[in-house]
Order: sequence, then structure tokens, then C-alpha cells
Amino acid sequence: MKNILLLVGSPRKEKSTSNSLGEYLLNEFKDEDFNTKKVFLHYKKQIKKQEILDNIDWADLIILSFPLYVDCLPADVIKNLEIIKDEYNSNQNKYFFAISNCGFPESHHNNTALKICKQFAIEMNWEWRGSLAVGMGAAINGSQLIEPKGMVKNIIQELDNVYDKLAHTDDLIKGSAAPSIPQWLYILMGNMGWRYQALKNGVWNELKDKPYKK
Amino acid sequence: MNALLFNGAKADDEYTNNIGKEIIDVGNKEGWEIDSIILRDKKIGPCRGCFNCWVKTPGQCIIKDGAQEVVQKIVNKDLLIYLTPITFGGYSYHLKKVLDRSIGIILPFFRKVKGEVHHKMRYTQYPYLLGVGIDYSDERNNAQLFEKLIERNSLNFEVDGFESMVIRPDTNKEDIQSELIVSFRNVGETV
Repeated sequence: MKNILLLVGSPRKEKSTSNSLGEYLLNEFKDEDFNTKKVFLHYKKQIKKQEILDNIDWADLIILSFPLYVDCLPADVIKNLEIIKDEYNSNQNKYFFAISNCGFPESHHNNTALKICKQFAIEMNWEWRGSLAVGMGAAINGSQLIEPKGMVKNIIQELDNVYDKLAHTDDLIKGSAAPSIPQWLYILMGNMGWRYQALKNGVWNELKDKPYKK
Repeated sequence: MNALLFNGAKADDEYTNNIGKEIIDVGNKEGWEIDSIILRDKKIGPCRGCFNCWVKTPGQCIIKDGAQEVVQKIVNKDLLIYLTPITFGGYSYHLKKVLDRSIGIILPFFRKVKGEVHHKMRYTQYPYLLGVGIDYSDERNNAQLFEKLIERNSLNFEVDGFESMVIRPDTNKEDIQSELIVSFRNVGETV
């Protein structure tokens, strides 16, 4: 295993928590002289489809990092997985690992989406290497993960653990982590954050509007 | 009783499209008025993850395309039916593109449901969910995973209960009709 491909499944691309998590893991591979590439799965031009298929062909290990949308993978990620399933026909053995992050405090909200990723790997005849479920993704908010300290200490420690297993063992990985923040504080900060943004946008009083009520 | 059917089939997926007709047929006979939307015909772009539907135009997505017309129908229905070819145990792209664009119908704030955190409701009432998955694979995990996803989605709507059925192309028509009748009647008793 020498070629590692990161697929980032967030429309927020470089600014996303999916990118932060995937990039940290990818850099660990890079530091140990693996070949690495990164591709964003939200794109407009049809030409990108072939680029993705070519990169899949190049890769030995594919890491998919995405945000949880409605208990599942974002639509554009599903579209790409459908394309890969329909159009990538090689029998080469590949390894597949998935990272899902959600805005909820509990990381287990990601479990159904990660099982869908496992099912994709099964249907591709790829080897499922496991997953990492991340809660409180909003606390990372797309920031670069550098050192295992502060509220991201748990996350970085778990990513280091994932890297070690992915790069040096055949173990099936079932990781989960969330920033070290009490649940009540995360919820309080989140609720204040939404209100602050609404205030800035001049819609404080409309936050709970019901535009579609008949 | 009003239902909304989201048909997430691809254009060449004749079997799923025929099941869509069957759902309408059975539903009508059971006293349901069904508004059916073929999602592949709607120009609906992907969610941008901007959360402006919560903090800039509360309750409505800022992207002006076919999604708003579809999403606004959800909150005024008694039953929402997801019809989809089961895709790795979950939804097709065509179905999921609408669900991603519908998060404005709930609030950004959190509440606890059955011991875990979910978003608060924007409206007082949401539709009951019926998931109809077409399973073309021989993957034994698919039915279980599909049902789990419907269950998780129904928690987001704070609706007590859900209906889920998985149909394989070799399922006979009478069995499909019987199961649909049971589902429509079960939901009918709750609304």
C-alpha cells in the first residue's frame, strides 16, 4: 500500500471540518513517504468525473471524509459513489476507510452513514478498513488540526491512533471521538452562535418563522 | 388524508417507477390523496452547507431552484413517502438531494429525544414517514440498513413511529399491494 487518496465530501471544501480531519490523516501518511492526493467531491464540471475515476484507479487506500447530512452522506457524495460503482470496473484490490463528522454532541449519530460506506466497500469488492465517527464537528469548524492539546486533543489522539492502525496493521478500525467540551456547554454555545448569526443578519425575530405553514 | 411521494428513481429504472404507480394506486383506494414528485425531473442543486436557511432566511433555502417548491409541500402533509432504489443500504442521489435541501424546516437549536440530541421543530406537526426501498442487490444488510435510516429520519420529525418496506424485483405483486395496504392503514390510524 503506497498511494493514499483523500476524498472530501463537504461542499465547504477547504473550509470544512471534513477537510480538517482528512487532511490531518493524509499529512501523517505524507510524513512517512506515502504518495498522497486529495480530491473534493463537490464540483460542477463533468470533466471532474474522469479525474475521480483516474484517482480511484491510482489509489491503494481511499479515505472518504464527509459531514453528516440528514443521518446520511451528502447527496453529491452519494452521486459520486453511484458513479464509481457504475463506471469503475477494475478488479484491483483497494482499501476503504470513512470519516463522518456531525454537529450533534454524540458521535454515534454517524453510525448509519458509516454502515452505508461499509456497504459501498462491500459492493465494490474493496476491503473495508473501518471508520471514524466524530461528534461536535462544529467545534472544529474547519480549523486546521495541528497539536493534540486543548479541546481537539481527543480528536488528534484518535486520528493518530487511526493512522497507526491504517498504515501499520490490518486491524479493522472502529474509532469515535468528540472535542473535550461538556455537552451542555456545546449546546449552549451552539444556540448562542445561531442567535448571534441571526442578529448579524437582521433576522433575530424571524429565527423561528414558519414560512410554509398553511 | 394527504400524502407526498418522493420518487428517487433514475429515468431508466422502470421497476421503481412502476412501484411508484402502484403506491399511488393502492394509496388512492385506501382513501389517500397522493401528490407524486419525480425528483429526477426537478432542477435541484446540492446543499452548500451554508446554514443560511437557519440564520439568514429562516425556514427557506437561499438557493433559488426547484427545491423550494418541493420542500414546502413536506410540512403540510400527513404522510411522506420515500421511494428509492436502495443505494448501498441508503437513499439514491435524487432522493437525497431534496432531503439535504430541506433542513430549513427544522430549527438549528437542539433538544433531547429518547436520550440523544436532535434539532428542535420549526413547525408543530410533521408527516409520518413511509420508506419504500427497491433492493436490486443480494446484499442481506440492505433491508436492515434502509429501515434504520428511515427510523433515524423519523426521529428528526419527532414523529412516533414509521413504516418501512423493502421490495425485491422478484417480490410478487399481491404481496407488495398487501404490504402497502397495511402501511397506509397503520398510518391512517395515527393521523
